[in-house]
Amino acid sequence: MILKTLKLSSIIIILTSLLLLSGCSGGGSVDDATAHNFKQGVGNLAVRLLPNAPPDKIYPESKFKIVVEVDNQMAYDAHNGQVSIWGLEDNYFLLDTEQMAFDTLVGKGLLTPLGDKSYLEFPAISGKIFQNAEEYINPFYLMTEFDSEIEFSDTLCINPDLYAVYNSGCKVDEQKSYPGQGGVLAITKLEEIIYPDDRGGEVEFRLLLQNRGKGKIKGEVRLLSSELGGKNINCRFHSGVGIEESVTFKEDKQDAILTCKDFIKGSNSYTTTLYLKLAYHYEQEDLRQLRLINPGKITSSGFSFS
Amino acid sequence: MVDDSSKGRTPAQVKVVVKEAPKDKEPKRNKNSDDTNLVWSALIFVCIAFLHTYFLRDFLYTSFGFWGRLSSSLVMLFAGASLFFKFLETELNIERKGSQWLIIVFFIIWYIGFQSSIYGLIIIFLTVGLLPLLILLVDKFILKKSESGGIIISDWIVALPIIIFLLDAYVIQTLFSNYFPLTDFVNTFFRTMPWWPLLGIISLPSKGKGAIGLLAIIAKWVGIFAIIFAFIIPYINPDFGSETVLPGLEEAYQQQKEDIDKFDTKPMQELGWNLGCIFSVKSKDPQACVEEKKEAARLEHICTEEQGHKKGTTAYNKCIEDVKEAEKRQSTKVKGINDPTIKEPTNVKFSFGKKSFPSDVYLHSENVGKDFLKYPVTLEIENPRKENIAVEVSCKFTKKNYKLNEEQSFIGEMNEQQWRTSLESDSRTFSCSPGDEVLDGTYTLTYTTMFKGLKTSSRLDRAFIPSGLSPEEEESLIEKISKAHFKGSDHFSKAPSDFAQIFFAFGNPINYPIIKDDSGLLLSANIQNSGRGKITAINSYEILLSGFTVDNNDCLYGRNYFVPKEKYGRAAIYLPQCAITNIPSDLQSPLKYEFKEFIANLNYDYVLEETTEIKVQLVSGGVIQ
Repeated sequence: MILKTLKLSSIIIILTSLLLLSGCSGGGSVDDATAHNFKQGVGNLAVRLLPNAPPDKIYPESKFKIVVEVDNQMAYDAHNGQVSIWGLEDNYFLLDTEQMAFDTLVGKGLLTPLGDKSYLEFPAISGKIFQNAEEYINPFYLMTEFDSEIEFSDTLCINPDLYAVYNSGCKVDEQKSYPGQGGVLAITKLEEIIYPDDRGGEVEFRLLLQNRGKGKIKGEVRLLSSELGGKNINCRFHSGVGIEESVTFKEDKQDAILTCKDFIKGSNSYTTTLYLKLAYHYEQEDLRQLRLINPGKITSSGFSFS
Repeated sequence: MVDDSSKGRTPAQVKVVVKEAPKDKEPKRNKNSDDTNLVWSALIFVCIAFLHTYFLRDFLYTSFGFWGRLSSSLVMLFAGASLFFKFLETELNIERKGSQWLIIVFFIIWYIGFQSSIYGLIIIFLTVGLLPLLILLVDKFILKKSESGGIIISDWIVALPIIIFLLDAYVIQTLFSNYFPLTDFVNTFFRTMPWWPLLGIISLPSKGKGAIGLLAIIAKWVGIFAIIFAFIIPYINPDFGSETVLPGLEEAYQQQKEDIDKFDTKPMQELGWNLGCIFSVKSKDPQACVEEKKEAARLEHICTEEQGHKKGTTAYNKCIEDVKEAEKRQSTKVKGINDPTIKEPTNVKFSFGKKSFPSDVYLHSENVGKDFLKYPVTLEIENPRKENIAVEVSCKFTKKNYKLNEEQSFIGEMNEQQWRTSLESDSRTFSCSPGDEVLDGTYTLTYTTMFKGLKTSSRLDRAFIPSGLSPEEEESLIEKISKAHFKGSDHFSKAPSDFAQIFFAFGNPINYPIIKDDSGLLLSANIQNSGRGKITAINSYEILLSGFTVDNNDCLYGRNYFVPKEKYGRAAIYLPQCAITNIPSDLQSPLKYEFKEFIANLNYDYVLEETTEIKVQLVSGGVIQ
């Protein structure tokens, strides 16, 4: 009988706690909750060349196409996208155009769980091979650039009383790690620091932003929105020289620290949601190659249709 | 004496043990006779060793390569070990045993068979290292011998021929130079010491009688002093040998050859310089003094041996100045590589029919002057680029008069002298006859083939980046460009391995392939003779830099460029240098970067010679005249 009572009370406590936790949440919407699964980890813009476009072996003075598939595997839209090709020697491979823009690619979500794709065609013509050279291999860079955003949302415990750790059922995590938010830019660490005083005190969140993709974040990373419990929170980037509203990622330093500060209301601990939205410009390069072959040097035994 | 234990056994099972009478003394040796034998053996060995050091090993290396020289060294090792063992027996009363030879054999197995691996060393240690101990234990506890205490020492003394072998093969020197620097002097000492003759000198008896004995004693002390000097001077490193293996023989031979070739000096000559500079009153810096002498000898070698000038003549002095000047220019020398994508260069082969070529004939005197003798040669041309090749062929008979030490030659008659082809692969047989001349004796027949208007090209890659990038951006872009386009030797110009190659470069530094703007850009080019003949004319050259402006157009193109006769051979022919004053606008500030290929063309004449020995014996009425 006692055991049954204990079990029942345990279930009630758990259910009550869940209700309290969900009810205490300051922000977020149904969409956010459902999209939550997509907005985790690292997502990128996958760029690949279609098979046989370009062909593995290109004959001299022939037309061919380089077809680039751009696949948005991020949980966010990619805007102002552009693919460009650099490093081709135009005596051997002459492109009609070296760069092409693509429309906004919708990120992965409930309606587009696989992400949006775009195909870009670069028509080209090959030149003559040098004298009796067997082949000419021309490495080139396929450069993709786009604008995108990330959103960060997490429920955090705020406790102004440093000495009463469990006074309202929530425990402060002084440091948390995140695998990412579904984009290439990611908030990977969060530190929570409380400065208590007689009126409640102040809370500071220190967030580490990192580039988790293969490319580079170019130019400024801008903070579009910052909310704590549905209300604006004051956030600033810490760069090497001072405190800024935006931060410029350098070639050799692809991370930054963002700090957000707010006043704590009351003296009891509570949970609330920190929400951040950041925008950035991204460039990624893939090294590929074109192979021009001398048809006169192909033996019948070496000929293949691949 | 019958053993008691045979009791009760059948006669067939009976084991007869004959106990030897104890030896009171070892049989007396004839000391004088042994000493004389040793002296003669050592002297013969010293002669052979000198022959090996100063002639045979290099001759065999040149003729048969690595294995030729190795065989010479191995013969010396066995001969040296045999002599040294004899010396140990005669002079130090160290008994000759099979285990001594085992050490030599195991060393060869380890060094050549196991390629001096640590694994091999362990095996050898377990065998050779423990062998004397095993013998000691067997002697002491099984054979109950009491006088076997000297075995270990005597067995390790026999390693001296192995050390000499390694020194002679330049292994120890290479090993030292791999781990700690040797001064030039010590390096010279190592290289110049005649190691095998030294072993022979060491093996001379120390207590001889008469003049030979005295000479042997003096030579022996000189040798011991030399060894101490050689082994104390190198820096003693306590960690030495803890984890290393010896350099391979081939590596060591190559190192020795390179060191000698580098200075083009003879070992004894170099030793002489060292001694001269050390004891010279005038020379305050012996090392600088040696370097000066080396440099002078190198220049002398180039101008006398390679260029054929007589020392002290005006031509010789001019040659020295020219070489110095040319080497100054070498600092901005343009490098080039064989184009790896062009595997079929233009090539020519002479072939003499094995059966049809009359290399050794008897000619009846009645047939003299009837144009009986015709010497055919087939010219096989590989012309993969299907160039229009014009060929002029001539022949010459040369007879050497050994008595007068002079040569007499006359031009032969060709059945045809000119030929043109533009086929990818073509061949033609020409025949040479002595014409009105009468052949009698041994001649050198020389076919001279002049190829007129041969064409070759080369390519050079360069990347142009925008100016105004931040240092980090520029560094990152250069890294990307280098990764994609300039790996290994890709930044050098590439030319097919034709007879001649035109190499060119521009940039700042000149071989640096990434160009930011047009400031300080230099253009340089040279022509290399990569075949076995001579470049006799440069009909034209052009470097195609469309849209570029330079301060001297001669660096971009020229016709009938003068080639001095001394440049006919393998020396590089330098084309005029210039500064690039402007580059095309599209390359000045590209959006990201521009990758471009530039081409240079060369039109030249080339002469190839092929010689063969022929013999004609005149016969009159069946009798050789």
